[in-house]
Amino acid sequence: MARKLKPDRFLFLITLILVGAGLAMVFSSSAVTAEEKFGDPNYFSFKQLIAAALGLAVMFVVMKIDYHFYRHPAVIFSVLAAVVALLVLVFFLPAAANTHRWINLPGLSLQPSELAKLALILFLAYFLEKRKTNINHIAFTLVPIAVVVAVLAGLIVLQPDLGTALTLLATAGILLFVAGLDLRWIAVSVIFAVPAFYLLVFRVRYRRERILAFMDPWQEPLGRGFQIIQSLVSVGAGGIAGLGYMEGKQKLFYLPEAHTDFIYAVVGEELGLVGTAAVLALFVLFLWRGLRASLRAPDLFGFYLALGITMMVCVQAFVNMSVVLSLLPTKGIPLPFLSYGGSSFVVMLASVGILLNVSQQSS
Amino acid sequence: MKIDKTLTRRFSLLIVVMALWAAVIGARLYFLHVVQSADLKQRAERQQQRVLDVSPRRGVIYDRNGNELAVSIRVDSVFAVPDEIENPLATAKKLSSLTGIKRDELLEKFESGRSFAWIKRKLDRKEAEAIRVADIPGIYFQKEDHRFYPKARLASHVLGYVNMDEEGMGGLEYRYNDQVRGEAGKVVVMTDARGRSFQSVQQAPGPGANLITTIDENIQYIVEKEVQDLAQKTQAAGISIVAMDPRSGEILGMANHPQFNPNEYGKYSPNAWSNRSVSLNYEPGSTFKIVTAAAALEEKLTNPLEQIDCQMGSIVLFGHRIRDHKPFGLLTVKEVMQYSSDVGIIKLGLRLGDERFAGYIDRLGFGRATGIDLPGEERGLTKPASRWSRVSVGAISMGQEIGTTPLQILSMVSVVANGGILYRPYVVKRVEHPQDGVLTRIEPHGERVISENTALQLQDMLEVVVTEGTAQSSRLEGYRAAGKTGTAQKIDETGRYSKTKYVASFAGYAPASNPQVSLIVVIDEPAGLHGGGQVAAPAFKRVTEQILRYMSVPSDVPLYAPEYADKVLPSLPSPPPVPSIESLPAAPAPVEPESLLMPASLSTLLPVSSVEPIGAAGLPEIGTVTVPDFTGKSLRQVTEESMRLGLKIRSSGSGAATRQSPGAGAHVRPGARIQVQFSARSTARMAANDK
Repeated sequence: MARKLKPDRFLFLITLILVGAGLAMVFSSSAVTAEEKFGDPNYFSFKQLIAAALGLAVMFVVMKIDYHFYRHPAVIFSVLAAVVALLVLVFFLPAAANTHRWINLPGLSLQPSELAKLALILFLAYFLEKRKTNINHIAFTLVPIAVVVAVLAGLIVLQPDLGTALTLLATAGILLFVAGLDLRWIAVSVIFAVPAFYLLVFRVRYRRERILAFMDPWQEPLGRGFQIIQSLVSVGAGGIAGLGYMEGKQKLFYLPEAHTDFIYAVVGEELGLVGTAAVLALFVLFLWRGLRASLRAPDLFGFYLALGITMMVCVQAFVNMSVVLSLLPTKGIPLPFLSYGGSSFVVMLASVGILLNVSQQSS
Repeated sequence: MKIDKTLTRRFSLLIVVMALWAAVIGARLYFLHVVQSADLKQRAERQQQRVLDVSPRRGVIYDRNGNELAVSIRVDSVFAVPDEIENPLATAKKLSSLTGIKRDELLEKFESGRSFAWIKRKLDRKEAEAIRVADIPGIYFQKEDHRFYPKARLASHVLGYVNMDEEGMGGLEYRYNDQVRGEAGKVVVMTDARGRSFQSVQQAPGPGANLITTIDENIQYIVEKEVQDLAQKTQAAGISIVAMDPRSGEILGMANHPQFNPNEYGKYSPNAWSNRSVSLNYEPGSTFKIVTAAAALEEKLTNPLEQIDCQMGSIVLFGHRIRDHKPFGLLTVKEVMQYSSDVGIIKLGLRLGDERFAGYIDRLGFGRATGIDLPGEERGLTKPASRWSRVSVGAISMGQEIGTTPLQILSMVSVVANGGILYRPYVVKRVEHPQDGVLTRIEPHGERVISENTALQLQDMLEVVVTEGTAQSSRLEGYRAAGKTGTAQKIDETGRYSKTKYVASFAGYAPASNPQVSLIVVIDEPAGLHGGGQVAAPAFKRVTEQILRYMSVPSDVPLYAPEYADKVLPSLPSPPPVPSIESLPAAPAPVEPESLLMPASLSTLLPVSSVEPIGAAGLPEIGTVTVPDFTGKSLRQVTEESMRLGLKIRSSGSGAATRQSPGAGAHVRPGARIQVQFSARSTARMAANDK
């Protein structure tokens, strides 16, 4: 029933533009920090360039693989098993920055939590298609899903990396919601979410600080409000046209995480409203083309797969932008394609490869 | 693919939620980028840029020959970026030991929450080097211009000084501050969040204009050397010597005691900063007699050869008896000046009358600022004729009941020297900007106040004062000079004329045949000898001789001129002519009859008495003193010896000491009074008496 069509060139183009813009912005925002830390302004840019090359290569390969290849339990469960194994492995590796998040290999570092997102989407797409008539069956559908989500999210929370875990939960939630999860269960999960949220957020000092800072950054402009204020200052300083590429001042140690989680603020300072609106527009377009591919998918597996990948990318992007603009409290979620970070980059591009393959098989 | 209804509904809902989210982000972008942009931009600049005000580069002050008197040099200032200081306490401790600033003060700066704080500005090289070597995180240097006076104290009162911000606070620095200062520099230091400057856009400070002054460094040095010597010798409270070119009003040298070093003005008391040459208000005494004589001659009320009856030393004005310092009979007007007869000059004053006399006082520059381009000038104290008492004319004729500044007297004497023109004294000849060229050129500005003929007559008189009169100790070697001494009693706390506090002065010029320099010497409260002829006139001689030689002025003394032939002075340098007027201007209370007979004056020719040297500094204060044998000694010898021993002398008679009480060998307290009787050796007509 699948007809051979061209992949969505529009989606492909959007992705390439985002990748290009990301490389440019990483260079601009990281040069000074890189120079200071490593004596080489290109340190981060170069690593990001390698990641982009690797990511695009993976994307081209994955694009060519018929997504139905993943529909076999053997594939799904070995991927899941591998990811869980890696997530466990990080705890036996030396911590970096007090977190067990990376597996350092010579030349690159791998972030298993990024892989977990894709693995979970693959699993859910497969499982929800399988259980399409019994979505709300507890033992048959919900418990297995809950177990998988809990294991993955739990291991990630322990790293600790609440941001990625929340992304994971959000992606799973969206898929279940669209799949027709009974409102009862949605209510139940909300009831369970509240104490969990309290425990995870308000019982952990730095997270509580972030929430308080979000609510009133000016209370401690040099303390916990610093990052948010600096982010807003960067965006505002850009005005409509921006200070010009490479001309930003805020990245000079004012704006923490300028080349990672707050790269959108650097875009705002250097390229102004024109730049930030363009990035927003690119993600909206990505959302549109991704949902379009999802709706046109020849089967439910393709539908959920495309939907999951699109939502993973766009929810992360929107959350990141919202954090930068102080619409949401600080999370520690990178901006897909733009923020520095190899694992995320490669996994995102691999995901887009799958998405493109789905779009290619639209009915 | 078939999609069921729930799926479609849920999917649509998802799209709506995402679309709304995107819209919110879009709206927020507009709000931040457009609506709040200005505020946030300002905030960004405030935190990124630190504008350091850097001292401007002040112009150079030169003497008339291009020697630098005040320059600007580049020095280091040190500042802190408190955010970068890792350990404020340790940093404060270390810096405190290096700079001498209190630790708590530094800590306060570090914890002030400011992004930037000066620690110490304008360090000397050693300090800067020590701090640089210490290499403390968060501590940085900034180059600044710093005023430096290479000649230290030289001409300090003329030059003035500048504060930390390079603003002129005194002297020329203050007067010409607007031109000399230049534009304050701004160093815009772009800093990162750690305060490290990564880019500095420097608005170079605009250079200030240079001043080319009328001061001659060498003359200034000569004058200052004399001031210092006098300070040492006389222990005076204050001394001023000013040298002027009488033909233009240019100030060649101006020095005062106490003085200060403008490089470290803070170490001196504010008293030392004041330029007494223009700010001291004193009673001029006899030097003012020139004014009286000038007015009388100009009004043709007399001529130099007219004989005046000096009434044997006493004149009664409206019931107040004024006694001359010495009884004279008939004297010509010239001799009145020569011997500085009070009665004689009072008679000239009376001829003038209040109104006319007051007019000349004003015309010759008294009671108003001379207009010299230096700050802090006093106008002096004069009263309009309408407010004169009936005896005022007499007092003012001989230089009492009037306040003048040393510079006013010098300007007036210069009028005589140059033939009748009152010049506005000035210190700056040219204001020159390094880029814009000459900004101002000051030309001599004078107006005729007396006729040339009057001036010539006065010149003749003032020269005789030096050759034969009260100021023979001012006679120069190789040059003819002219001038007038002055010895004025100061008014003490009780409002009466003090018997211990005097102002000794001499104003004159040389060479008399072609005046090139006029000079005033004012010694305020000299200890010991206090007569203008005793202390001020010799200083005039020393200074003027050196100046004329330095200026290579040819000698104008005719060979074998009898009046200039070396001759031994017939007597000791004259004790001071101190006239007195019994009814004191400050205390017009009824005067006791005895005091009307008080002789406050001494002979200019013969050494007489009533000198009560005040105890000089450095005298022994404890223990006893053995009274020496004064027999046969002159008054001066007695005075000197007793001063050395810390004894006070009450003398009577004139000539050589014949009797004394207590007698030689007696032990007395320091400061005790010894009665000494002198017997007249000459046919002196005057009997000194005791109160």
